[in-house]
Amino acid sequence: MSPKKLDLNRRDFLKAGATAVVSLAAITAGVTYVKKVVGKDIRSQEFLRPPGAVAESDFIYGCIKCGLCVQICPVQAITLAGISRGLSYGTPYLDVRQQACDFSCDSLQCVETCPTGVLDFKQFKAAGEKAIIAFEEEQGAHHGRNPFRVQISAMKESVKMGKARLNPQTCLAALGQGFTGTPRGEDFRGVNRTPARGGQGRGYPLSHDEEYDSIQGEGDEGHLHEGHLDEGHGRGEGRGSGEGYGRGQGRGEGRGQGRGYGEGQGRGEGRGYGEGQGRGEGRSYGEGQGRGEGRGYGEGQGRGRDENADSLTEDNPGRHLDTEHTDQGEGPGRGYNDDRYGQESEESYQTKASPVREKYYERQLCDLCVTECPIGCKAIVMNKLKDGSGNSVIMPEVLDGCTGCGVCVMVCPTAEPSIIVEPIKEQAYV
Amino acid sequence: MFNPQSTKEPLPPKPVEAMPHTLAGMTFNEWRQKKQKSHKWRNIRWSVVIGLSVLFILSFALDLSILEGSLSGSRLLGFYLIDPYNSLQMLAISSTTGYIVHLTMNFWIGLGTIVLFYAIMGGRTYCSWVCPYHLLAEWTDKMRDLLVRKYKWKDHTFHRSIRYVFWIGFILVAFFTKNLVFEDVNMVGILSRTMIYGPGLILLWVLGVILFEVLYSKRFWCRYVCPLGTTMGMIGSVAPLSIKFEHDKCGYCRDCQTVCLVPHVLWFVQRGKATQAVHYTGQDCTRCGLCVDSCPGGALSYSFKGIDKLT
Repeated sequence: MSPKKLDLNRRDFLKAGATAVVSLAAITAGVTYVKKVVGKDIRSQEFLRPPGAVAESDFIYGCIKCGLCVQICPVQAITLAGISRGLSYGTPYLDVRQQACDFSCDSLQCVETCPTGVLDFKQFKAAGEKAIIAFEEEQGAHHGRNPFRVQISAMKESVKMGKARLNPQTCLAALGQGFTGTPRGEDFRGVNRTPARGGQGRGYPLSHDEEYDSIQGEGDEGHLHEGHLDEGHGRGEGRGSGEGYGRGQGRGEGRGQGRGYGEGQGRGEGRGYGEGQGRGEGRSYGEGQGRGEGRGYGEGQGRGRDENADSLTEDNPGRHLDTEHTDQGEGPGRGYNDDRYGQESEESYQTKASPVREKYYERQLCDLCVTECPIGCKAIVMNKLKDGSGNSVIMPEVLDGCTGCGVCVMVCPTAEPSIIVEPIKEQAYV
Repeated sequence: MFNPQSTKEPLPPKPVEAMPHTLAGMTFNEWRQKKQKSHKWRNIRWSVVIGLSVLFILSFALDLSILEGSLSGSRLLGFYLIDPYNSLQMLAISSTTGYIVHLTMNFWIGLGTIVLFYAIMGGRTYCSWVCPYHLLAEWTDKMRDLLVRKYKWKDHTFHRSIRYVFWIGFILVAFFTKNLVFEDVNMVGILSRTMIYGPGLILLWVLGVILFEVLYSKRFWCRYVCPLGTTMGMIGSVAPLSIKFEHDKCGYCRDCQTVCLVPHVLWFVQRGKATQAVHYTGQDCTRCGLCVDSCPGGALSYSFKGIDKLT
């Protein structure tokens, strides 16, 4: 190669190379400007990232935009951001109003599949293992139950994508309205796995105050039975009832029977769930409260489950309550099964996600967000709260157990969702 | 790195008596045209590129779980495969933030698999056998060729080494901004995600690059910019799989250079350029096989360096 040609070559290179360097420097300056000076970017903090996402500042470069989380999600809750999101282009997020994460996959598969660990599985693995150990200790060696369920449940509950926030201005419950129909219309494409029902009720009385009062009275009676609870048989009990607001308190796990939270309950729910109840211990929150317990049983039994009836019959004064309860009867309480160990949930465990448009609800007081919540009473409950003007109204209350999965947002029947999920902004990886 | 040509003295050109057409008893033109037009390797290759894309699409659309993810990162029957340049940027950033320890074993296995595979199969093999943009550009190249041939448009070329400037540059950009900035303009990732997850506004950028290539400079992106291709070239610089050139079968017709997508890798086919009886193509060669299809004398063939010496 002649020196002249070499020289030309070098000149070419320097010229083109300089252009490239300048353009790359311009890109860097531009990106830095938007990030530092304009402040937000590009890295949109508004995103609700999939479960287990590390802090956004790490997520943004750790995510290689492969989309494996999108593909693995059985309900297709995850989508990739478009270029209008700037440097977040290609990163996954959830639009929960369109499709919430309903934990259909049961084992946080998007997190497990992430190759770069920006969806960090370690924390969930640890939570699951801890739960199994606790479960084994509690149940003894030969409990004959599948601890896998316990593990999954603990993993789900340790998700923290965001936290739901209620807008009492538009919430139907806060306005005292019920809801009948299909929440998002016939064309809505989202799917949801309705959580298991049965177990303890988290109901609330629809009744007026007087009624409520009288119910409370009963609750006291219930107390008498506490001894029973101690013995542990008891399945059955409790749950049922729906009661009360009350429940804010005490959620704890208490397996065991039912205790109700409760005040007021008793009213029996007519709604279907009742059935489930009985068996199993569930954790009811509520323990703390004491009141009300008695009544739980009432309900449970009413509806049918043999097991319950038996056990109660044997040594239980519960029956007595039962009767009383039955009288109370029909009330709005609605229970759902929070029971992690019970057989009921075993069945419901296999429930597949089905289109929201095929679900029909009839509620005298709208509580879809509460009953559809896959986490249950640790995350959201109906409670008697003060509204803006100081009146007591029964409406959903979001608790610390909320994972931000967004099912409540997806099923909220108001035109604009009355409950939204606010992303957790920073989450450190440990 | 700037000049693939050997510095050795070239072999003397073959005399007419030793030319393959003379040995076959034909004139040069007869010899050159006797070969049936074959598109064997091109057809195989296009089937592979399209087949992989279809597998990606169907794996998601029908939930087949065969080839999930996209070209940025995927899972082939459960085994992870990770884009090396994306990883390089990410590793550059995470080395300072400490995130590097959080990468999963699947990530390292996936990256290792890709590096190993292309170190054997020839890095830029990725370009012509996997990359969807390469295929798209092969088609739009025809428009460019038409403009140059028929309408006498000038072809603008640049120094090939500016790709190294981009290669280092995009890593530095990522490092300083703590963002994978390149992914916003990466043709491979964009097209792959578009096919699998659906189109978006970003396609305007792809269209812009294609227009620039058609109207101004052929294959601008692949030849001078794409740092993923450059990375693959580096990985495959010692790859045993390459195109083998046998000087004694060559008739100096240079049909292979005409069809070649990176003609400089075939520098040895010109009369009086070859320095050895056998040459292997270098790291820029995409192993596309167009030259193999076009060669009238069978002087070019796929081969595994080392293995063909044994046989």
